[in-house]
Amino acid sequence: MTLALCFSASAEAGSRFEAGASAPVFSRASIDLTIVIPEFLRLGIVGSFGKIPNETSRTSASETSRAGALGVVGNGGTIVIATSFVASEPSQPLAVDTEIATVAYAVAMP
Amino acid sequence: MARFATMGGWGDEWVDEVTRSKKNRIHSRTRRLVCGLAASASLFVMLPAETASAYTITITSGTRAIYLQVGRGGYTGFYNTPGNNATVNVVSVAVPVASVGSGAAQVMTSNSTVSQSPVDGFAFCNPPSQVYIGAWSRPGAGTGVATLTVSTPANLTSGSDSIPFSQISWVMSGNGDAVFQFPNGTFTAGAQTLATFPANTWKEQCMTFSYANTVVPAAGIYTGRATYTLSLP
Repeated sequence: MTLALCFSASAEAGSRFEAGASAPVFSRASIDLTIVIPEFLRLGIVGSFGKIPNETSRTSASETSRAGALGVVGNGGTIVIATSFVASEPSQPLAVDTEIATVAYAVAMP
Repeated sequence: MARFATMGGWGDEWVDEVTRSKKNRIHSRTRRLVCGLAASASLFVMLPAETASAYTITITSGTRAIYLQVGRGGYTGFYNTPGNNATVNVVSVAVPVASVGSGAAQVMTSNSTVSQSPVDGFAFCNPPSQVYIGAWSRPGAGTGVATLTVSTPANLTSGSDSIPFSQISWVMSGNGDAVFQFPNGTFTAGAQTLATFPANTWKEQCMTFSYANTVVPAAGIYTGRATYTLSLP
């Protein structure tokens, strides 16, 4: 009769010492890794303006409209964008399903 | 390099005199040691293996035994009886709001307080930014080579959300060391080999972890475990 000694170390440890076995021995130790990601929301203008509208983003004499986009990045769940491009009109919420979204917009001079 | 020992079985103490000559770390330093390497029935001598500046300690052959320590360890003092320690240290980072997904790597810190090498008490690691890792293998009568691996799942998780473990890397270092025993690396799902241990060697290093921060995860606290395994066939 052969008595086999099996040393199977716990994985829940910082150190393990194993000794005396003639069979293969294993010593296991672990570390836990944690990454904390906070909630955030960013809104930026992208597209044809490429920057906050200013003097250089005015339409030329031949142009009557410009289009652009709002880049939205967030990680707290569904992003809801309240749009109000015209001050006289009430803002309207726009639900976005993804956590990174681009919302197009346009302005025109009829 | 002289050494003498009182022989014994389980729990008996040994007295070793050890000389180590690692150029960058200890210059011909002689130290008297008290070792209680359990279950051993032969001399336990630590000799310098001067390969470049690598800090590899050679121990004499003896009863088959292995030891692995990541973070907090089970040694009682230095060179004293190795043992188990149930503490699993935590390595973490809280990404600043303005930096989430920016690609700016975030250095992780640990709750490990281990700075001294269990080999000799040398102030080897710099917690909390560094985590000690060390192991030795003594295959007994055989000449087996032990292998150190680390295994991780594919992702750290927070509920149903996840961050790939490949976002976490490590850099090896150690005060006074110039040649490192284990490679730098990045976690991948599954097992990765870190080192092999020829018969009767002790290797140690300090790990600094960082989060690549190139993804935009949902807000949450993501956790995952890396398991290091020293195996001697």
